[in-house]
Amino acid sequence: MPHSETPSCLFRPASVRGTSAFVACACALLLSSCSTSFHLDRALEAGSSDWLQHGGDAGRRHVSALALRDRTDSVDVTVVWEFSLDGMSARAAPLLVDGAVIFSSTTGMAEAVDLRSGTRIGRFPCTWFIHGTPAIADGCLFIATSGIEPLLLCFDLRARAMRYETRIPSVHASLCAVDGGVIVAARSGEVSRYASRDSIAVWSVSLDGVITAAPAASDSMVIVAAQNGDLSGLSLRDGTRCWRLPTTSAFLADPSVANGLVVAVNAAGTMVAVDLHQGTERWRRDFGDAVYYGTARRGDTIAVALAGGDVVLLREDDGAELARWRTDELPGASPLFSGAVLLQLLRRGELRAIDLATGAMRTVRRLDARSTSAPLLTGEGVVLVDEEGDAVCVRMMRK
Amino acid sequence: MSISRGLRFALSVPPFVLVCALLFPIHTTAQFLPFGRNKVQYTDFDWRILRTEHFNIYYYPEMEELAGKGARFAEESFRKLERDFNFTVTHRIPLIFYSSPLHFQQTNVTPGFIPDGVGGFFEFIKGRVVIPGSGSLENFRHVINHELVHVFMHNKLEWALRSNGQRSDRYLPLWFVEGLAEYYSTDWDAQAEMVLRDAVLSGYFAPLSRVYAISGSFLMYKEGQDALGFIAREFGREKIVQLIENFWVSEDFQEVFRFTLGVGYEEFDRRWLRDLRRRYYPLVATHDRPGDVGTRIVPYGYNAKPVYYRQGDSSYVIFAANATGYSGLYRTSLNGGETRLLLEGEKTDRLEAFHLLGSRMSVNAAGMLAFVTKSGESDVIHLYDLRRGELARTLVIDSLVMIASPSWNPDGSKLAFSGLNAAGENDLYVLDLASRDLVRLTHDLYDDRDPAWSPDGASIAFTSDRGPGGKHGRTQLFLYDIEAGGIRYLTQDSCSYASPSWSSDGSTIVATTDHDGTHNLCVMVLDSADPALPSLRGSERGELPAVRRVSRFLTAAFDPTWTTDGDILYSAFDGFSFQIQGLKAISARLDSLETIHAPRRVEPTEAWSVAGLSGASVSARVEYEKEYEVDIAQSAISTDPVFGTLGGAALSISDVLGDDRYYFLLYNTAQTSGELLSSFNVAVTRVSLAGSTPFSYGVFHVAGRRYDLLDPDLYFHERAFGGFFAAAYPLSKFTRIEGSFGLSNSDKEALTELRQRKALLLTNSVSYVSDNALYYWTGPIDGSRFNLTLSHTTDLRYANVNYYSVMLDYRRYFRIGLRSALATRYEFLYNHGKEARRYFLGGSWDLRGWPRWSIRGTKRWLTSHELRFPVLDRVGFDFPFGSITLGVLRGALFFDAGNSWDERYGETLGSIGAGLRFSLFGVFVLRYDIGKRIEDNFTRLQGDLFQQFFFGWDF
Repeated sequence: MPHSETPSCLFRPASVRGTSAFVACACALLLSSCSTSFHLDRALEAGSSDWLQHGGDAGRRHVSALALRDRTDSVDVTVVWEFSLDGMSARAAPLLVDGAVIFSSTTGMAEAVDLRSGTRIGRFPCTWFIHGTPAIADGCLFIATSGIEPLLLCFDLRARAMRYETRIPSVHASLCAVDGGVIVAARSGEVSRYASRDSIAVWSVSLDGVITAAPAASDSMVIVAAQNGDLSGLSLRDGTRCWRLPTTSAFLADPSVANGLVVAVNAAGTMVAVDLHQGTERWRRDFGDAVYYGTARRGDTIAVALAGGDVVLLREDDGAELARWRTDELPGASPLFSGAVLLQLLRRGELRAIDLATGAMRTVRRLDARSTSAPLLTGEGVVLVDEEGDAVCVRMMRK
Repeated sequence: MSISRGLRFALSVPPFVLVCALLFPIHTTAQFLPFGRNKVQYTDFDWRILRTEHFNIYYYPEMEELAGKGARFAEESFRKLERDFNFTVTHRIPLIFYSSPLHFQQTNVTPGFIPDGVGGFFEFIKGRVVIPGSGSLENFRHVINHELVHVFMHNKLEWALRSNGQRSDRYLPLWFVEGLAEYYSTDWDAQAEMVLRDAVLSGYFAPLSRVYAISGSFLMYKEGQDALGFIAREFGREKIVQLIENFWVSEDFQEVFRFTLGVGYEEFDRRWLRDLRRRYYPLVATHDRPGDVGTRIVPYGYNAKPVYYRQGDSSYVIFAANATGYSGLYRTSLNGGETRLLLEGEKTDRLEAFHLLGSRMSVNAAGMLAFVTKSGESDVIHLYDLRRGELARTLVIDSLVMIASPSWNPDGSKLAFSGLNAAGENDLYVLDLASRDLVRLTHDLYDDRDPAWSPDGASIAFTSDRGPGGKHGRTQLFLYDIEAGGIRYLTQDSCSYASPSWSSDGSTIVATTDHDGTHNLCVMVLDSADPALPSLRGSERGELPAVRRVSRFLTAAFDPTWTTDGDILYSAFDGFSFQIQGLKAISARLDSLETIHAPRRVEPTEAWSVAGLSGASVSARVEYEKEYEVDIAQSAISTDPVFGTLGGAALSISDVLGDDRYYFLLYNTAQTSGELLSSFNVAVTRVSLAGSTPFSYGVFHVAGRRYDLLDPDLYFHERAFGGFFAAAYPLSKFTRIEGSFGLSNSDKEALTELRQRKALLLTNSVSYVSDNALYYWTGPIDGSRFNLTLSHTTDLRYANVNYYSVMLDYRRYFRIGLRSALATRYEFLYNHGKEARRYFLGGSWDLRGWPRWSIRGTKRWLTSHELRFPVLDRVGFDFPFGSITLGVLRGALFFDAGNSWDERYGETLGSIGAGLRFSLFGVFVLRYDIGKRIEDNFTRLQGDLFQQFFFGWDF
């Protein structure tokens, strides 16, 4: 599966380099080891914790390498830090790269925040509205905007400078980072591929239908789901449409790709599983309920959150229902696999953890305002941001 | 039982106006006396709160069961709307329930009058939803859904604007707002089909590019609903919510529309109209326009609920109508002859309001017409003697809030009717007129309406939602057996039936059915006097009578009634009006009528019910405690090189129910820093609109420069502080008694001469006010207004002030046409005593032609006579991209006479002339007058012409 390069030391501030950095890290380690409480998210298993695009990878699998291992309910949640986007509103999900969390406000500002302290370490002004989640590829932060003069902006994270900006049609969908560049799906139906080296599109094709769902990519294919009900497979190399599967309702939720299988679910609640390369339908399942957010994929299971509040676990092979949990709440984002739990953000701003083994459900954190920004799991805790632009990093500690 | 029958009231004027009027009652020498009707809160509501997961539901104990059902509807609706909008509301929504429309009309959440037909409202400032029950649970559910769509729409729109960095200071177009509320809350029903068919086929359909032409009408609601249905079918259901999500894209909704759907209004209209024509044009070949096949008996106006009456050889139809702006009862001869007004409502407490579309009427053999009006707190039944032409009796039924459709038994000794009680239950009752015994025939959650007593007196046919499908609003016809008390089915179908009426021999029932998409006429022929109809409950099977089609109208027919000749009279919807029409000799051709349903045997069905919200779903049931929230908060500051810096702020707060209000005012008029402390103006007022006698009281400190209307004007600085109390007692919606008391310390210092005056002023006043005037675009055109005020002001400490006032103002409006009237005004204002305040005269509002405020004195009289007539019914601009209606132009011919004087009368002044009045957007009136003054004590006309231009409503 193609993956984006994980940049290193991209956001290390100059003052924390060298000796200073060593001292700071040592102090932080010393302080954390002095704590008598057991940090559950210390138990988050090691692995690459960077989260470079919406859904974690180009396949939009929504699987975190970090795992919550403690299943007990007897935990307290403590706030590690809080951060405010200065009264601006957030819809895009936060990203994590090299110890820096990237937040994006709808009103045109991306901000980099130090993961450990929650202090601002960089700003990336964009002028127009950011609705979809940016993406990081090849050491660059790509941001697509919408508005009167929408742009694709490419910021070099090492140099903290803009590498280029270029006019594109309005973009509402999250970007897809793949092979050192990004796939941009504009609302107008234009799908383009950009690299980090220059602002000329590698290729660009126009599809029918409005696109607000983020494209997914895997194994030389790009998957695009449109509001006219079309699910399309494009060649990553030149954008050629390899296949098209029409359905009868709009796709608002992002498609996902894993194990050579595309899974997409439309607004009417019809989920289709399609062969990645052939475009042939493997199976179809009708939930009878609207679905606004994409699926999570891990192993041979698929998780999907229905608008009515049910979270459903399916078998990838045939779409058979394995489990169903009732939140009784409108979801606010795709589910997220994290070890033995499935994290589900609710639209009202509450993050719930569902124990995959027992189905037990507990509230991790309730935000002050609604949220549609998918949660970010980090080594410091879970980062959440609400629609008022207030972000928080919370850590769970045993009582 | 917490509901008292004591009179309670609230003034109909907006609260801030009330406060302004009450803030300074110390000198009761107002230049203009107040009128206005009373919004009376008759009922003492003992409010409780039911807290559920997403709502604070306000209700009173009598309707606890209905509130529980409403809570369930609201929570179910909330879940559905979360999914529809992909959005949630995170605060508890205040949901205020009333058990009936008449209770709802007493709410103080909004200061305005709530007319019949308003199903509920969403108040934007505090996000309150106010909804009455109507007896129908399905209607209750629909209105809750409808208003909650507004809540979600409002919150999602605010989110869409704010999250894109825009102020939430603009709103979606009304067709979209109300269309979406309907689209998400109810299915397309027979009423919707009726108005849209009529609009398309009669040629007054307004596409989106001209939807302003029907703004605010029921047609706009239904066109909006259909437009959104078309968007869902043609462009995708998700596009509807995206129109809200994309609202930030442009301040022009047409641009948002184009951005979201990819087509503009014009292209959309073209496709939408094509779709409508495909739906409705084929119906022309198979259906009739009501006016083409029926006899037009009253072919114009807004007429409903016909009832047949025969006196000797003459036949009449009595019906309810609103032909003049006031609702009333009319009579038309079926033998030819003009339509005659029998009774006019909305002018007196006894006939306060006819429920035009809500209540049928009945005439017995003695010519006694039974009908219902609102009268004070509740509905009453009136008996009108058609032979004598007078109201004979009024029946008040204390246990019922609303009454509808009285029906005589054969001997005229009893009336059956439907009644809505304080619990919100709509059931059937029988009243014995001699003994006054009231018998409740049904007692359940079902909506029972339109009772019709059979000619043999053995049974009552009625409409009810108690059958299968009733949970979703479908109604069937039933027979109530008077002797046995059982209920049997007359119809049991997948469509609705309503408004049964017996033929004079009792063999046939005519009713309406929406079997064909809209309400049309049908008949059921009963094979015997005691047909074996299926029982409502139990195991007894039976056979339903055949249903035969009488009409296949393109639009609809309502409230059919038989004549003794076998004809059917009904109210037809045609050309956007309700007309009384008739179909001849139906009883003679029953066998030839098309059969909708042959006789068939049916099984008894299970009763449906709705459980109230209970258990863990209810967070708490608590007593209502007032919590105040801000209504208005406003501040202003200005800087002037001469007058310095002036500034102030005003704040008003009220409780959730709007019954208790506080007003705070603070401003400073200092022109130098030395005056800063002494120039603070502060006022605090409390207004209580709940309780048996609404009242207000407050304290104030005012200081600043004023002037008195002396010759020349005397400028002075006054500092006054004190308090006041005012109360009012309504005698009806149209009359009230007001009183006020005030005590203040007043120090005045003349600015142009060495003169000081100190006083401790005590002021008392009492007024009698009546008002039943009917307003048109620029002022009243019917009814009358009256104000008599007596007051006394005295200085308790220094005897510097001591005067009394007598003020009388009477205005009468004689209607001489639908939009024309002769208006008269007689006014006498008299102040006498030490420091009596002066009145002024002259200008566009009173003595026209004379300079404004130029005639002054402590006494004044004035009379005006004015002919008001229409000139242009619409003034506006039509552009290729849309139209703007500026207003209405009206004309006047006038004569004024009067004078104002102190000690010596002087001369009588007058004027004659003509004028034009322009109502700008219906809220502001511009006035132009031209004429001649009558001078020299009414002996000479002015040589030239005077011209005056000003603003203000007609007197």
